[in-house]
Amino acid sequence: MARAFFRRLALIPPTLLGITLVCFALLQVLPGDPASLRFEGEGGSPAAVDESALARFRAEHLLDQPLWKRYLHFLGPFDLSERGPTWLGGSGESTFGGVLAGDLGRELLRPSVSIGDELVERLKITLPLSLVAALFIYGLALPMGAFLALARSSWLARALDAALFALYAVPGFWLALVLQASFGAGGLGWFGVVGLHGRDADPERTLEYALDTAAHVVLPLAAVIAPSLAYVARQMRSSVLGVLDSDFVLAARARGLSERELLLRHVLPNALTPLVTLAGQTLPWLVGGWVVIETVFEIPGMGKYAYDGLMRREYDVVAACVLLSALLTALGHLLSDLAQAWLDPRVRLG
Amino acid sequence: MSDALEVRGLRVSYRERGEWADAVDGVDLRLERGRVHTVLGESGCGKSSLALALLGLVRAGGRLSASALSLEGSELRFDDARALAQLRGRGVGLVLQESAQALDPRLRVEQLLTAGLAVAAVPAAERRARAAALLSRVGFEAPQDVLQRFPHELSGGMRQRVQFAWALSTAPRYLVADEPTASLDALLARRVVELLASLAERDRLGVLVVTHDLAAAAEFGGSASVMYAGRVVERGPVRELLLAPRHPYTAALVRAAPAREPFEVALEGLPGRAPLPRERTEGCAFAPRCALARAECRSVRPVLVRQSDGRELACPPAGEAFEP
Amino acid sequence: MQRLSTLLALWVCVLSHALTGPAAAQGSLAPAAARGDSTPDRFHPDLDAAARAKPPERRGGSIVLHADALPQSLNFLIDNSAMCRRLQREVHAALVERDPWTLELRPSLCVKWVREDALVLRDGQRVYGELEEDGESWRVRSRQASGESDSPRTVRRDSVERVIRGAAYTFFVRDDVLWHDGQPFSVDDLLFTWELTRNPAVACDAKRFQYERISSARKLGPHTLRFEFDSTYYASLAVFEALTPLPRHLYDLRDPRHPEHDPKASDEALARHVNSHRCNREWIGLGPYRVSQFTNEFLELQRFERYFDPARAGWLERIRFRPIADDRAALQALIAGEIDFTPRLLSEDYFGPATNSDEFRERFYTGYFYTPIASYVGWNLRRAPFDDVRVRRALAHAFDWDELIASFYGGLARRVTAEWVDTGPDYDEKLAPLPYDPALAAKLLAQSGWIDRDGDGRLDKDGKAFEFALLVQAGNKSGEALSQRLQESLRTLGVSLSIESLDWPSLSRKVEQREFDAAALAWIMPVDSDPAQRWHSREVGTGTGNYASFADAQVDEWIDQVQSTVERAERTRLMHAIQARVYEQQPYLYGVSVAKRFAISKRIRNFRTSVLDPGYSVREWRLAE
Repeated sequence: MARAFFRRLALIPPTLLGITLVCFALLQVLPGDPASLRFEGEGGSPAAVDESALARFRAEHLLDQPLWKRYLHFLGPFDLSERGPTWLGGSGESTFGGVLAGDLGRELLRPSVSIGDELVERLKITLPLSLVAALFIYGLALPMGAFLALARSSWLARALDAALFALYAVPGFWLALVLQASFGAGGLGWFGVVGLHGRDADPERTLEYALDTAAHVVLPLAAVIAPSLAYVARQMRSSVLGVLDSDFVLAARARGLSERELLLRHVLPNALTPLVTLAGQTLPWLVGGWVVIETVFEIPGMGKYAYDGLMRREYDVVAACVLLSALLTALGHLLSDLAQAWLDPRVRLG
Repeated sequence: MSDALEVRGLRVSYRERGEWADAVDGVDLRLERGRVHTVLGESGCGKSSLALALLGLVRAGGRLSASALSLEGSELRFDDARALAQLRGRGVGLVLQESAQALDPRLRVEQLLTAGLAVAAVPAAERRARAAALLSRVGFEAPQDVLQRFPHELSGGMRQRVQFAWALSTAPRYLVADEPTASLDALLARRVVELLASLAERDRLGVLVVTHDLAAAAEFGGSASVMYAGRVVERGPVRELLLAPRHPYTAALVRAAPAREPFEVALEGLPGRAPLPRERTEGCAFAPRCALARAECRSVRPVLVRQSDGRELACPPAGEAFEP
Repeated sequence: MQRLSTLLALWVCVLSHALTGPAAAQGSLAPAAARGDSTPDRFHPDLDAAARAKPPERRGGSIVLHADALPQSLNFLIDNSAMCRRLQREVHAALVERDPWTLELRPSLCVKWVREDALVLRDGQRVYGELEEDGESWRVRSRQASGESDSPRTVRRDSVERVIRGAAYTFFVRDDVLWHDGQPFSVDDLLFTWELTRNPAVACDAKRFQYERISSARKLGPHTLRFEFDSTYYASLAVFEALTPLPRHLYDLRDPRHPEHDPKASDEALARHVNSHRCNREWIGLGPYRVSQFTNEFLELQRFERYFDPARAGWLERIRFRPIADDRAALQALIAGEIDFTPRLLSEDYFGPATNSDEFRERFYTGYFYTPIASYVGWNLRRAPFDDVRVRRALAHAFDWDELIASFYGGLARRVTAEWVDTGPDYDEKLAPLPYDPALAAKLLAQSGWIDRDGDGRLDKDGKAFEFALLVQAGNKSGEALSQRLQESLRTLGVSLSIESLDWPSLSRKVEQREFDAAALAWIMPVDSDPAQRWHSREVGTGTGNYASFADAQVDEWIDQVQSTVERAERTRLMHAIQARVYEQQPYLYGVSVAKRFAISKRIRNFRTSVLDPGYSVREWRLAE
């Protein structure tokens, strides 16, 4: 078991390597480059600067280099830029750099900002939000799904099922705008629609600050939770239905077990196993699911960082976000496999 | 007051394309303690639905009714939860066809059995010993070892025997076994037959075996019902039934006996196939395939008639041939 | 409520004293009809009698402003973004600053400056001073370091090789200026900064062309500094507005006060240090406001108590800029009370019920002001058929701008015929925009050979149909509106236009590489425009500002002249000539200057609009009691 675990763990780095390589190649396809943004002119015209300045900027950030070299620079552990080690043709000012050296680099347009530090700052916002979202999604969806399956012929379950299906079909972006319009200032005015804090939010006054923050995250959370809630609830429903239909439940019922015992001993534990897998696989969603929502609600988290990075052609920012997302994906799969191995005696980690 | 489980006018229907279709279409059945009764038929004839219905169970999407149901003299109803509680567990046990799905994959054998023993009100302290005893009863030589196993760690034959032990753990007086020998090889099948026979004889259980396997049925002895399209077409002592079938369908079944797989078997000399529940019409369901069919066979539903030798037959033309 | 509507009736006046020129900006409240600006507006705070009756404003209080994005940095030397520039007035100061109301440059970090001309003698020597022609010789009145004039010196004309007007500026720097970290500001900071601009690795490329005009800088005394120019440049003083000093004690690796002091630091190392300095965001400046918080959520400015000029100090204690990319969300934030001001109301919100309900008007004023931003469609003159002036003029006649202004902008836009401030002296407002005349357009196209020969409804020439692609920034609503209407107008003429929506980096790159037929863009019209960048034929290469690749010998000549023309009237004459000549050639489809529609909390007082971007001056805002 432990060996299998470490073997799986060892598979993660090559996976990440592949994913970041694909990401890098895809970014190449995007037209435009950050150099033209760095020297953006005023009022939305390209800037009038010396071609040599652009060339210098491109050279400094390897934007004029072939893909493989930029990728190796991103990867590390050696700095391939002009400042790299002398044996690589650099000036020798810096030897190490790149992901393998634990350095995600600096933003191109804000050279004073280290991408790694910024990622941590952003995660401090997105991670708690995601955890709350996950808590709500699973806390609500599992009982809901179980109810949908167990009381499937009741009108309440049918209505809920239809509602969930509609919710699942709604695009998150659209839902976010509808929520903004209905509950924001233009509508009922119950919740904040931009940012995380009100105008006079004062972290010193803990309770007020917390309430204010809560009022601001209600809508974005709802926009993130709703579609996933619907999805997970429907997954739970079909999982429970599948177990209810199985022979061992029939047999257990034949033993005269009460419905409650049946549910607790046989149905729910078996129905939850695939849901645990699902939960592990939604770990990367912690980042991806927020891209649109954070952008709409102006929340400076991971998702918005990735979005802005893409818009500004900050290749390293996007690559870092993808790397993180890929890492979470790999970890998520590993965790869900571990959980499954723990929950389901038939499954062996291999 | 008798030691028997009896049901009259049993009907199991499933909703298909918005309409209710009867999988079991008015069957009467009496299961006596200490006896084995076999229900024979092709797949889809409703025999499995009949087996489950004896415990008040029905597969998803189905419904269940009977004009009368009694367990050892006390009248029960399918829509009464208390009645069902009497029926299941301590009343009737159930063994299903062996499959990976038949046992809860997450539970060890011991957990499975002790849950049943709890239903039978066995004190917690004795359950482990009793569970081991149950495993011995169904033929395990190292019950302590088996107790610790998960279902996927057992062979198909072992799992089938665990099912028996699980069914017996609630100390039922009747046992319904749905295709207990299917998907087992001949040797294992034989041991199951022996076990069932011994349960009837030694433990005085009323055993109902549902099978498509005529050879196995012959082994059980006792009586048998032959089902076709949701109805019992012939009933009597199993050996007589097999040696001297009277209903044209039974006769066809017997001729086809060597085929162990019932699925898609074109019964020898019979055109067409058995009708699906929603395709059934008035009259004898077998009439379209029957050489003896007469005009009224297609319009009048034949009833099971007790003949002079005690066998029952639902075919007026065949009945007339024996008892003109 | 009734009082409100009475007041609203009173507000039927035209906004923007700035538009009517300096005189009106000085406080004349008379409703004045600015050029092309006849739409009645509902807003003029100074006409709000109720507001005036309230107790006087006090210093202090805090407000939150809407920004479409936060700047990448606050170091104006290396950050050319509009947002960074707009914030300079609040967080920083330069030797001179432009008064938003008079548009004149005035002293900021200096007490005064002295401008001198120079005589370049045949032996290479220069004689500085105030020049006076006196027959066969020049009389030079030198006014160096002391600021006092000494007795004039006479130089013979035949020993003079050339004359440089405005060859030297001597600044008498204030001695009471403090950086936001409390360190004293000195001329050394300025010298250090100017030296940085000569370091090619410092990322000030977008402004280097300005700094490069200074040929040398010298410290004359503890508070005196002299900059010299090699040639006459009409906008030389404006260079000192763009030369924003950096604190030497924080940025100069070779300064002993620097925490990472390294006397042997290379120019490259110094440049890298400057380009990625943490203080580019955690700004230490000289302005009336210091940066107290700069997060991803907001930028917060705090009034700098020790700001050197009490007369220009800020009133508000705290100013926050909240980035909200979506303008509709910004309006919601305004209504929710999270922001106090947005200059980016959508047209449908401005005219629609959202901002016209009684509840809304109870709390906010709405209005509009013109900022010097104008739209245009740039033609690529390197590509046929845009190399033909008749085609370009035909396209100009083919589009009905007035319809666009009325239907899309609700009347709040006006046509422009040049790329510099359309209320400034350089702009010839008598030059009438080309009228909408599809018949004339068809005629011009026919003259240039574009006729529908094969009868397929599309013009052709030499077997090729008239079709081209217009690049538009994706998500830019006015660009999309323009392109769709242009497409429609041209279709009726038999010209097929395909719209290509690109995100900004892609569009910008294509224009820079001249890989386009036409591009819908916008410019910020400067007060002191330098037409050289946009129209001089030497700027046609890739990466430079002449995207249209416009080349005209006459324009080149005038541009060269205007560079060294300091005299206002002559300069105006030349600029008008350039304007007329370029407009006649139509290298652009000249567009419109669009009013910004704003909403502002009624708590805010002393809101005035200026023609200078961003169009208002936050440091002058106050809060009502």
